[in-house]
Amino acid sequence: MHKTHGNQRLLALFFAALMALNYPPLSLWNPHVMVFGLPLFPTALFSLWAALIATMAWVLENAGD
Amino acid sequence: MLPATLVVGASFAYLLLFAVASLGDRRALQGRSLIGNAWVYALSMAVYCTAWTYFGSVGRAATAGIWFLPIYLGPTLAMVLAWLVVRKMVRISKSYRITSIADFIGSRYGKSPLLAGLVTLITVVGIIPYVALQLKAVSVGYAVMTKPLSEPIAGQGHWSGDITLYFALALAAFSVVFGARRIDSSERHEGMVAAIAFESLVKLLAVGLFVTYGLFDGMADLFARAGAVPELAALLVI
Repeated sequence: MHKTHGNQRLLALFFAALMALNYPPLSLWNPHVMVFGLPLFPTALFSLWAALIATMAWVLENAGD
Repeated sequence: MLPATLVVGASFAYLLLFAVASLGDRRALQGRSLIGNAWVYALSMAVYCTAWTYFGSVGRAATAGIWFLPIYLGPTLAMVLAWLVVRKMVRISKSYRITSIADFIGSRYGKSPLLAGLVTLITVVGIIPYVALQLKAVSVGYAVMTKPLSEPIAGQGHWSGDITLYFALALAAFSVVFGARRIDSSERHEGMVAAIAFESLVKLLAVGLFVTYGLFDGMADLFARAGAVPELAALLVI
């Protein structure tokens, strides 16, 4: 893969994560319900964080630089 | 309250970090790097969780709930762009043999010594309260563990009686002996990185897993117990 593709993916990931971790998208997780005994909002925030790290690792491992 | 001898004795276990550091340095010399691995390197980044984190982040979580988290989300977001930005900075620093942020900014603006001096001044003034906070965290942490609950944590005596001063002197001696005497941009502190990664692993296993699954019965149990306390239950609602 061409190097700039990796860079473009990183930029796209940055802006996608920036939006997902801010309001209003964060208010999606406001309902006070439990998931597997855990409150929804913290679970969602930690899951988004983990997904960001995993996607970043995937993009960088496949950058083919 | 724990006996002071136990706390000091347990802290000697941290001498193990020296063994890890020297192993890291030896492996680097042999060309079989311990830290040339994404997992080890990622663990070493947890150096971001400083001594003060135990008070700052835990305190914030106890008073404001989930809003202790953005201070970690921000740097993670910034690291997405590290490949584009930090890599460039590393490349420039390597080719001009730059070792400090002051020289870096100075060199970007026509090698201005005035600007570099100004940056040094700002960073020194800016970092002193932060370093002081870390030292206070170490000494208050010690006081929390060794003093009876009824006694106040911070003493009001003369400054020479403040144990923080002696921590600062000991840490200064440590920095002089290890590493800070000579700085070169081509130098890689592999032992240091390995020691920090090892310490992060201890934090993760001892503090994280042991508290969650050893002292409590998993995360759901923790949240259920927090939910039973009215002050904490209020923090779980956004």
